Amino acid sequence: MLPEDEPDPAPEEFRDNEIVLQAVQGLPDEYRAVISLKYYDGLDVKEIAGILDAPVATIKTWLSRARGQLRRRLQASFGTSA
Amino acid sequence: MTCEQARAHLEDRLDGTLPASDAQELEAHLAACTECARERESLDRVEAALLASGSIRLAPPQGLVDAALHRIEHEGHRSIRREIAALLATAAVFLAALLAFEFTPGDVTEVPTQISQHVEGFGGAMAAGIDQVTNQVNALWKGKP
Repeated sequence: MLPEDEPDPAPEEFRDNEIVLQAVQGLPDEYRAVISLKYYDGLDVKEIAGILDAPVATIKTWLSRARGQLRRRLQASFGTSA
Repeated sequence: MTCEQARAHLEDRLDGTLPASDAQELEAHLAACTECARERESLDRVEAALLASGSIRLAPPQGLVDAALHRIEHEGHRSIRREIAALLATAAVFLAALLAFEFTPGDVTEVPTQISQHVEGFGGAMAAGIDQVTNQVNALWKGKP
């Protein structure tokens, strides 16, 4: 739930966020997991590596590739602005 | 610093693993290289979009998280850890998307139309996804005593 003392975002901001969430949802499992853990749970790469039981270098590779895929998907949705 | 090194450092910067000494060198490179500077801007836009989308995220139920963490603590199998993390990530994103719809501002009289369109399209897919995730989590829990 949104905290009551925070103003509602503008409608276009909700739509943009929904597009981003759809793009994240469309990522492969491991990419989606690292994006969610980093950006939505606020974990750093070492913590993510511990949770997923993978080397830090692997986590960084997944994050990089996930951001690359998201960039292409968001560019397709928002034009060249994303 | 080469452009290839700069691109790698740009990723390190987003990951929070770029040493301060390299950060200074990176900034000097970006000041002189318009292509790498554009790459930074593009990466920063993706970063900002992800962080903004996280602001409307609804956390998964605490009981589910606690149960998952408990299992992770006592389950050494790598694939199980990844599967649980991926399932939680899936559930979180589905819930966040639903929350975004729920809190879309607008005239109340427009809501029924929005709901109808939502259920027919994106919302229907999300609802199906939540059921799928729930079933997968339940199966995972029951299958691994």
